[in-house]
Amino acid sequence: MSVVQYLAGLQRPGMGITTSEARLILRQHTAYVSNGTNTVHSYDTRNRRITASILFPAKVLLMEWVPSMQQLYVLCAKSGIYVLDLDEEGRCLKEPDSTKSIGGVSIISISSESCCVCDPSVCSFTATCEVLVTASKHPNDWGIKLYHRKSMNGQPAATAPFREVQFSMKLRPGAAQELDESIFHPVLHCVTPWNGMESSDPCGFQLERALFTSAFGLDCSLLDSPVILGGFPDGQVVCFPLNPAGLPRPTNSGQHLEQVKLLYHLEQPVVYICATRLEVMAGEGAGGLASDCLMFLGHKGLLVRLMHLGDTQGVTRDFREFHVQAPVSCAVCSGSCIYYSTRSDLLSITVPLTPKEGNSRASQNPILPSASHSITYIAAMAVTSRSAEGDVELLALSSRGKLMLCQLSQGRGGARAGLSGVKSGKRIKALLSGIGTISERVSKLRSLLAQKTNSLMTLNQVASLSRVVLCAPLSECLVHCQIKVSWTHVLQKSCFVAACTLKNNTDCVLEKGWTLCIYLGTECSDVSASYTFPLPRLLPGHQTELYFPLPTQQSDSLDFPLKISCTLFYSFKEFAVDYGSSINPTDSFSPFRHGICLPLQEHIIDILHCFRLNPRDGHLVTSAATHWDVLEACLKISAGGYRCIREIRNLPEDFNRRRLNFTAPLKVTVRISSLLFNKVLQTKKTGVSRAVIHWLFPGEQAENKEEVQGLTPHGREICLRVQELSVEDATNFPTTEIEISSPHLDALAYMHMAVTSRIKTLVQQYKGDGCNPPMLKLRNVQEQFIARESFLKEIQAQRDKLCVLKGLNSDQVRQRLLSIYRELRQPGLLIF
Amino acid sequence: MNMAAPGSCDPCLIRWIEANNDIIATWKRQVDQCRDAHTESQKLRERMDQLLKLMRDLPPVVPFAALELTVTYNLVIMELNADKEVKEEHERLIDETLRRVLAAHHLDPGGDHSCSALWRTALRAESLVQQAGIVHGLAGLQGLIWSVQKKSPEVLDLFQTFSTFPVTDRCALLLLLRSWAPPDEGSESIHCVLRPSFIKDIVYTAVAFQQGVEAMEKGDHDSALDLFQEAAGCCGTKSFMARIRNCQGLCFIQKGLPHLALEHFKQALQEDPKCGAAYYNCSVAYRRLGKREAEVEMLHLLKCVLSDPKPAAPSPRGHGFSPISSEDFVDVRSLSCASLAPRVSELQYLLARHCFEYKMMDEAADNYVELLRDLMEGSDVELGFPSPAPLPPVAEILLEAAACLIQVDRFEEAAAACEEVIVKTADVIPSRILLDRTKERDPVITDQLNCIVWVSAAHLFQAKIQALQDETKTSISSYSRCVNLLLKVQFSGADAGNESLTSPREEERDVIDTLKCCALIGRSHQFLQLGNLKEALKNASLGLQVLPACPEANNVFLSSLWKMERKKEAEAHWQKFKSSKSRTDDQWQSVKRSLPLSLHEFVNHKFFTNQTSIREIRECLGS
Repeated sequence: MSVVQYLAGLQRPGMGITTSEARLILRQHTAYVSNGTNTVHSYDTRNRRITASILFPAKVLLMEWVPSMQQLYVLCAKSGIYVLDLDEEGRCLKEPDSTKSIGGVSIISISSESCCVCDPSVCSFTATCEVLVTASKHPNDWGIKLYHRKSMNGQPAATAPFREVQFSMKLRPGAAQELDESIFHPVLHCVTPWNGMESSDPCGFQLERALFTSAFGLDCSLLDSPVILGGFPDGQVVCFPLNPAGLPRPTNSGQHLEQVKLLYHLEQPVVYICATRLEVMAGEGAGGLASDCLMFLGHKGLLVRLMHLGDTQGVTRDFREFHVQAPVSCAVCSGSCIYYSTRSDLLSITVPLTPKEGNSRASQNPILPSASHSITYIAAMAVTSRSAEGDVELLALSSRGKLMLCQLSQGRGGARAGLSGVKSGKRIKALLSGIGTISERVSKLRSLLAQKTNSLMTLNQVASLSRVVLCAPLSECLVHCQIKVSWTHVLQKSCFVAACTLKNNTDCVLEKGWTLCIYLGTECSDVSASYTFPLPRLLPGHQTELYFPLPTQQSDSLDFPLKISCTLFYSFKEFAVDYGSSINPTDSFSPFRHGICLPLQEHIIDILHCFRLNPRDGHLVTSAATHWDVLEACLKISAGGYRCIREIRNLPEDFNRRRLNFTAPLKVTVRISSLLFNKVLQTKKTGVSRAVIHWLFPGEQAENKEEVQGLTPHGREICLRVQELSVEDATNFPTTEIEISSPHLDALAYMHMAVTSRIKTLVQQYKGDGCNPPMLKLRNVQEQFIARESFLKEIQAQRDKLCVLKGLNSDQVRQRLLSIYRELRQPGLLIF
Repeated sequence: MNMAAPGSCDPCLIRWIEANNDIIATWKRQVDQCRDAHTESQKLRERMDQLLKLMRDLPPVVPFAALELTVTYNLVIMELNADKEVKEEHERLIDETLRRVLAAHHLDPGGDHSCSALWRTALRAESLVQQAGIVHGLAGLQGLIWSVQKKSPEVLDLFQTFSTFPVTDRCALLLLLRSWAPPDEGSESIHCVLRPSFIKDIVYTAVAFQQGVEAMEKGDHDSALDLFQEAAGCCGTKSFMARIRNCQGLCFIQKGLPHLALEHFKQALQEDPKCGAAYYNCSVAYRRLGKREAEVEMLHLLKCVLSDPKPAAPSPRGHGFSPISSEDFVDVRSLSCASLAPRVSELQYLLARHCFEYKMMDEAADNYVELLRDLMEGSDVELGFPSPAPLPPVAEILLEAAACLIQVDRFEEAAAACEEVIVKTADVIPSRILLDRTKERDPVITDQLNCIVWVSAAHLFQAKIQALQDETKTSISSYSRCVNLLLKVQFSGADAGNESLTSPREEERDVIDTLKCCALIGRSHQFLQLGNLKEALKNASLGLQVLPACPEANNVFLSSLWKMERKKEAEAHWQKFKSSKSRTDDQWQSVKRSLPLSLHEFVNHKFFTNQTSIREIRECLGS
């Protein structure tokens, strides 16, 4: 089972990373990563963060770390090789071109002064054994140059190569074009014979003496000459000793020395060369450090293993070919296992040991079974650690720029494809279980995602609607709420019902979840009652109707004017529950804390809205019980009251009418200039009086009438008459009088207030139409003020007198109070 | 050559002629003043090139043809002087000028527009007779270029034009060149950097030398000598002359005439004291003459020359100086083959080996140690050209060094050298090698056999060192290891006992047997030291069986018998040995010739037996 941890993202902007561009090398706890740009990132594997980014003048092709000199060599495309001297912390010893720090990451710019080999043709290199070996590609051959590296005592490196070697390309037929388009670079390594001692700075691969001698000759072994091993894109694996005395001797004098020896030809680009130890001897101590095997891996899956055949007469070099899955993009070796990437997967193989000599041919198995680790798109990798059980930890860079730590478990002998039946079953079972788990998770996530999407869409609609409503001018009612009151009978009981018509005039959808809140209030209290109606989904242009009673169940009486406030509210309670909010959904609803409030219109309902006219002739619609109740109450007090009640009930209707009229009705009048009415109400056709009646009582019942009678919601009779008068004053100004009469003082007061508020509205409308505002008779106003002051004093005096003359003749006081009241109610024409 | 004056006194032509002449005059003045300024030469070349480009901007016309030919001639020579090698650009310059001149003279080569056809047309055209000198000069340059490019048919065809007799043999080219007589009339108005008539000598020398080297490589030394003599008769730089003389000397060495070879080598060194090949070949000649000291001295001189970083002194300028020379037109490989000299490390080895051979042990030991140090360090060796004395395998050098160091009692160093061979070679030795002498030998098996021989020899030397240091038991162990290794080699095939065969395989057999014999008799001698007479006799007997011709095996055997008081057997063996002494001596000499140098001294060193005892034994037996 492979475990992958994502450490960092090192994507290259705009494109992926190819295998030839991705580079990753390890230096203790630091990884140097190149992602195909001109930047090398330094990543601290302990603290899991990028510590530095080193910028080079050109695209980075190859990197190599030389531990003995603490130097980092970097090959840049068409530029050359740069060398950086670093300390143990990875900081540059030499002052770079520029350094800055961004977010804790040092950005180091390297200039051309750090270039130690300025050769644009260099396509690969290796730094080893005091020598820098470069490889260049020419039209028909490969060129290798050797430079002296900077010596230990700090002497500068030579700028010119001290040796140059050229050898021709050996392409298989038809591969010339492939080579031209090849993205592969030569792979160079140094190989030395193991001298029996563990070295802190081994010069490349250290081979067992026998293998080294078999592969490169006895002279190289005797001279302990390092050998440069090169794998090239045309398939050649060549070698040459760094010590020229190790070159194979010519058979004849006068013959040129063969400077480069062809070791093997893979006939496909060589992508990886490694040396490892396959045979572990019992009780092996220091001998375990020498490699007994060289391996060359080609891009098309050919793996060639070179071992020494001990105790064999004749050829002792054993080249054995194997095949692995192709195409191979990169590889690393750990013990007898090779981990390689085919882009679509990370695979591992166990390289077999040489079979016994007797059946060496019979047991040939050219196709090595590969174990899959299900990790894709790896472009470069390096081994960070390996356990005794064979588990391996790799640091890898994917083609998408992700730096990953991959922990690969390795069974004994390596997990092989072609598992046994039991293991296959278990594996399949585990896979199916995993698939099920993942599927379940996916469906949950999907539904959650859909829910979130819906919520977001709803929120979007809500926000849009809110914005539209709140940003609209006050005159535009994009969400219009219209209130109409009407009588209705509920269980043989008449009551007022308000009908609220809510229309969506916006372009947004009024989503389900909105609530219409209606607050009923008066002058005495802001909210005497409230109703909430959850609204259905209302599309643009659509409307909905809601009904609610007036009065409420708590009170049978209504105080006018009644203020009805409409508000739209959207609650976030659902979202709070969905996202685990700390809000307790059972808490009392507080609209101003957990939602959006959109105030709509305010409506004023006065007694005129609730006035119920006589449907036949506008005469009084009496509520006999109401009237009889008062009279009965009076007669009860007097003697012979019950006999009088029976007699009153048997009296003819006229008498009853007269009798009712016997209680002298209270009257109030309001005089308004007829010109005002003419201007606003357009009274030319119908006449001022009828127009005013129609204006006060819109509806068919009150048309063409100058007098109406009706009942208030409380059952009080009111009669309203409109007539035109000529004011007997110096101006002889045409005046319209509205007379309100009712035997009930409260009804009279409500009606008067309603009429005066309507007139106020009329005056404002008059002003808004651009007409000249009506003028106040200031003189009359002053007189009225003076009179009111005197009236007020007199009322206070009469009240005092009432208290003093208690039980004495108070009728006079009452009569005087009534007359004062009449005068107060008849101020005359103040506005014209 | 009286060049016809331009048809008209064209002021442009006059100006250009003056420009050409000015460049040439400046050039010659620079040469006369021995100034070696590369920048100035480059400027002059650029001016000449610019002049030619100006001329080529105009359509080709007859009055300007002579000047264009001369300017091209001058420019090519100046370029060759700077580049010191032939380039395609030089051929292109000549070709373009030739075409323009032919076009100006309305000369049509017919359907064939190859360069050879153009030259045929140009050299036979009557309208170009007045410019014959410069045309021949250019033709000579063209021939030189083709010669370097190995276009022999074109060269033959070109110079065929100059002769009246047809030739098809490439070797007769020199005849053609000899019969070629380019007009030697210099232009009065238009100056040349080199007289066209001089081109013939350069061409002749280059062709002669090239053909001489080819003949020498083929083994036709007589023809090579003649050709080299022809080449030496013409002018050339001193270094080139030295090479010619060196090649002549080589031919005489191959012919078995070292005295005459020495003469030529000395002439080569007179011409060029830095000619390394001449020093080396001198040493070879002295070796043939048996003059060891002279041979070694020559090698020392060569070492001094190779160690001197100063370049060779430039050739004197002045009269006779040519901006180009024959060696500029000789194939580089041919030139290098004619100047084969050992590299520094190889020279070091030669010195060490010769000193070892000539018993100059101390000097030999120092040389071997210095050589091994240089080999381990890996000097920067020039690997571009082959060597006449390539180094032997490193194992052989180590063994020779060990053998030499033993002679001068530097036992620790000798033991270290042997240890190197043993430790680094033992892993590749198989447990058994079966050699069929009737079949072709696989080079890999030969290498394995060599490894066995080297490791056995190393054990043998170690045993010898231990014996000299009185480490008897350790010595016996080392001798045993040597014997055990040699027992891994088994020979098979017909004529296994025929000792008259002198094939390389028999030489291998001789080496194996000699090593085995030396190890056995060495072990016998050690057993004698321990007083284990029985084992001593047994080992001596085995050694004698392996190699009856080995005189020391007989001595040890006799000594063993004598010490065991088996005097009658000793007497019988002595009689038998005396009767076949001449035959065994011949056999022994034959065996010795097969032995590597490191074993020569081993088998010659008479320390296996007490010389006094042997003398007494022989006196007793003789009486």
